[in-house]
Amino acid sequence: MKKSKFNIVGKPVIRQDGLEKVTGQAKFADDINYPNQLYGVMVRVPVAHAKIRSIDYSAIENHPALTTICDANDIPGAKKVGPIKQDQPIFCYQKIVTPGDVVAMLVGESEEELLRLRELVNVEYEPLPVLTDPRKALEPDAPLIHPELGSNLVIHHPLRKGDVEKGFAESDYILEQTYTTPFIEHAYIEPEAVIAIPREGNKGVHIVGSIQNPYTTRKVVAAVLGWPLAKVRIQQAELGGSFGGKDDIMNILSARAAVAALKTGRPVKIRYRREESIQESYKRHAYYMHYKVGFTREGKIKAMKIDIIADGGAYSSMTPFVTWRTVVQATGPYEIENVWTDVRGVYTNNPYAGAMRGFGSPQPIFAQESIMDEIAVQLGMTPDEIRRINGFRSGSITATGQKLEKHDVNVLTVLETAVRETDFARRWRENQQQTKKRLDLAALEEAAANPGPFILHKEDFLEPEEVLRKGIGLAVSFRGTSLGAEGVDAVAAYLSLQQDGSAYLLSGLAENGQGMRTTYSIIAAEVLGLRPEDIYYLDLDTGYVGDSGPTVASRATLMGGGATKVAAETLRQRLEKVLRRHWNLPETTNFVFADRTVYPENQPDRKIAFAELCNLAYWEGVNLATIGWYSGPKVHWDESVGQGPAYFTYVYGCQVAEVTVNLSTGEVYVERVVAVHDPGTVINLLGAQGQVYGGVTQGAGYGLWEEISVDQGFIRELNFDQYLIPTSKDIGEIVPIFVEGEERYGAWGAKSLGEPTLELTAAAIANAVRNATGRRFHHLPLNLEEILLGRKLYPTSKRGSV
Amino acid sequence: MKSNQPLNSEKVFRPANLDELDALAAQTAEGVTYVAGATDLLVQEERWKSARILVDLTAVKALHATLEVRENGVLIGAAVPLSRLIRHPLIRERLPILVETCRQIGSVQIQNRASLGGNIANASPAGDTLPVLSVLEAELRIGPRQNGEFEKLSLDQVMLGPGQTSLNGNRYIAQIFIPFPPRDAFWYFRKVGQRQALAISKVSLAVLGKKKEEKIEEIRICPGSVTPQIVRAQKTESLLRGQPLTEERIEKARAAIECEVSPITDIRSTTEYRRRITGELLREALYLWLRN
Ligand SMILES: Cc1cc2nc3c(=O)[nH]c(=O)nc-3n(C[C@H](O)[C@H](O)[C@H](O)COP(=O)(O)OP(=O)(O)OC[C@H]3O[C@@H](n4cnc5c(N)ncnc54)[C@H](O)[C@@H]3O)c2cc1C
Repeated sequence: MKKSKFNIVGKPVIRQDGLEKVTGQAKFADDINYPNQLYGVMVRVPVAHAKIRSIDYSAIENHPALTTICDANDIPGAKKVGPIKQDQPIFCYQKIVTPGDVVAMLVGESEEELLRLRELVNVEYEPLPVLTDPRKALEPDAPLIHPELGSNLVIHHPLRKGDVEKGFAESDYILEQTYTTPFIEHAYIEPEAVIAIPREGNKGVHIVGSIQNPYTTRKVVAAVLGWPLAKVRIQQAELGGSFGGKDDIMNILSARAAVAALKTGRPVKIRYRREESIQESYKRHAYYMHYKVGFTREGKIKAMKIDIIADGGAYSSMTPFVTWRTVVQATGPYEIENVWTDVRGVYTNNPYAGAMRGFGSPQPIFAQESIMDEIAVQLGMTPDEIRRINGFRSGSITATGQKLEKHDVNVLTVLETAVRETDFARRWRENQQQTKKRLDLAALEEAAANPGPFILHKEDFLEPEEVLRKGIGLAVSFRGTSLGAEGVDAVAAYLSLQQDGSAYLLSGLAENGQGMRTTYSIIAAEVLGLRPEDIYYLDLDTGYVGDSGPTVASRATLMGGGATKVAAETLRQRLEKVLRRHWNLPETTNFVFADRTVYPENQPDRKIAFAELCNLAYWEGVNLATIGWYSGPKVHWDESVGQGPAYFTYVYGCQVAEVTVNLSTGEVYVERVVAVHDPGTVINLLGAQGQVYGGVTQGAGYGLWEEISVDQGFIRELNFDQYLIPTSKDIGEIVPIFVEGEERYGAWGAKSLGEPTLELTAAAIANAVRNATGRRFHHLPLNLEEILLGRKLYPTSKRGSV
Repeated sequence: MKSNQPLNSEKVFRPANLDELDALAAQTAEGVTYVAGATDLLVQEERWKSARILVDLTAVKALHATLEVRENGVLIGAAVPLSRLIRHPLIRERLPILVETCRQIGSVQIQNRASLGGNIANASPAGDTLPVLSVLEAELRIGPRQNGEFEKLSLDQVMLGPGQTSLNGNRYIAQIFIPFPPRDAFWYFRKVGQRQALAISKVSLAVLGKKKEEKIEEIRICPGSVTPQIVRAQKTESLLRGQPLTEERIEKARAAIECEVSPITDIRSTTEYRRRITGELLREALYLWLRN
């Protein structure tokens, strides 16, 4: 019903950049080469924690393949960078704090030669004790990762609401449980690549790369060079996936390339192979989460106490913001009177953790949605019932004391939609019955460990027909849109109409593969009565429009869409004015812009072609270019107690996963995922569905396979033969359903979808596996060994079978 | 191709026929590295980069094109892409177990290049066709020919352990002869990997059996990924051979195979998991046989 007022919005529109990408014409950073270009190759030290004594280049210094060497001594400006705390060196000069660390970069014409030469650099170092367990990071005798900071604590976010002790006292039951989630690799298909080109005279440096947040990269490069921002131009090449992963690492690689380019006066390219990419780039945080929840016989949650440790690894990166989203959302979309939450981000010698799609939400959702199902089981309720009792409604107060109002608070709507679509409650109950008979795992393990004398009988086993078990599970979430109290939230969009009615469009946010150019083109086209293909999207370059902040937090459609709409409306008003004058119509006349024509609302026959109107305006000397600006309303936050209206609005989602578990092998197959989301108004249906397909698949990877495991700081899974992401064969049908709630912000109330689609899936799968097997798993991923043996088994690095 | 030129630098040869291949194999003093689909070789970067002489087998028809159906079996060129086997109507009819294993290798792209010869010569205990070739009692024909004849060897005479083969002195696998099992034979192949495609087996199991008057007349069981060399589970087989297939027998066989295998803990799995799953797969196989 809502859609009828639109011509294009809400319909499926094919991606503008789709053709060049599927035909291989798109130019990614490594496809771009400059004459006279050099390569940069990194020098690392195989140690997780050490003090650097000296770096000796004498074995290679005079080698003809070496143009120059860059290390910390070559940095004119900031030697350390970071989005919040500047603790990460561009080149390490005091300490190595994780094996991905780089002490120097060799620069020359042949990458292959440089790879050989780097083995000959002699770094003398003094090994230090290695800290890998974040739970020990705050102990008094823990080795300090950054001694100058005096502690391994990156951040502590407390949240205090009501009186938890009173809440527990009023509860009939108390459940307590610990959950863990591992480090995750973004697994973008295109590894890091960037080129820095020194420009002639005083023009500065031009950088082209696989960069997610060009304005952030510019800040870092300018700081490292000690230059004004305007002297650094960052251009985004087509980007082959990011998922939050092409921020810090690309800022640092851009800075290294820039330093080398200015030192040599030649373009310098850096490109990573997969192993190097996984080794040095940041990860999604590993979390250790302790949840205690008190509830009444009727199912009302009275109190929740949460203690979370986030492994930030070697550098702080985005840890303070990632964990901030966690503290806001950790209790889930439930109204709870008494909450006591502590989230601490800590340093270790593990790979550093930063932004990744989800940004501090997939971890607590796994914990909170698991424990919600346990409450249901304990009370003999179905999972939807318990959520209905506690879920947010319009006017509910969140854990941070924010009243949810002035938009559709759709937690229960998405829940009901998903439950109805899947016949959830009936099937969940049926599956609970089938799990009465269980494998006696203890007996089986004893038999396996002691195979000789111990023979099992048939009763110890499941009937072959019982081996395959069906399960269904759900998870719900609320998610604060955009940056919230993290920072400034404003976006620019440049729109320029040409004499013939075609248009240029460019927003300050980046196309990271999410289809944002198409979304913005649809918005401009809707306002101006054009078709999306009339709009030509420009390449993003920091030189053209104002700093619009990073392309993160699922904020592109909401904020950039808002800015695009403002720009299009501004130009539309200018055109209307021209037309009123031209046709001598009164001020009050309203116009319809549709099908590349314009006419007065009450005179549909009196049409002028959009192109003709632009031509008219052009000859009248009207400015047909503008920059639209959209900024979010103010939000605020009291750090000491974690209270305040954290985000200006929220989105809601519910996913139901249907699985089959093979009890004899531990295999889990995801048969179907029904994903119901309220992203506000859907702009491009095809784009929205794409987000769901991708997000659910990525979320299933988090649930079942993906894990970066670390051995003394060293990553075990350095390539995709060991780091397994789902293939198209690993997941069944995905059914996206959109419930478009009312919203005042954004373009026609279009909010966020990218991250919500991913954050729920692992939790829904874990609940489905519980439903199928009768067993609760507390540690992601639920891989074969976890399901079968109930614990993770980390293989040795011995490659016995290859 | 000139096979008599001095071979002292990095070279790639592409012999056009068997005679050229044999001459090259015989006359080259240095060891050569054969290449069929290159799906193993290309990812083992250090290996191919250090290889001085590469010999591409894909122009030798006897290796790359042979697919000869005979009355009692089929002769397959060692370098024939697996997808040709998967599509072949007679192989599908008479050797469904082979088709099934080929289908589960890698992905379609891999199947379009990978070969049986490569799978064998790569000598990984996780090679998926190996247990199947073992239960089918495939016969490997090894070149270069001596007096015009290939040498005939069984799989366990060629694949000796992880990365170990008896193919020294430039010997190569030319063809594989696979005898047809009886039409009413029971077959089972299952592989357990961490995901459904592009996953190397943690454990696999091939079973081929024939009943006669409610008794197991013949049974061949071969697990993959759980023993260094691909060998049949002979103790478990003899526990079943000649016996009626009952639930009790099945549980005994399951326990027996768990004792018989000697899995290692490596990059893809652990002793504990592998031993357990081998038993579970055998149980699954035998129940399927019992119930249909
Ligand atoms: C992405 C991916 C997924 C894979 N998945 C699987 C899987 O699921 N299961 C599985 O078993 N394998 C898998 N493999 C491994 C590989 O595809 C198979 O082992 C394949 O059968 C190898 O055949 P090839 O023709 O490509 O061998 P090549 O790579 O050409 O050769 C492999 C080795 O055998 C030697 N060789 C080849 N042919 C001969 C011959 N005729 N005589 C003597 N020596 C020879 C070569 O010198 C080399 O050492 C996978 C590989 C990749 C890259």
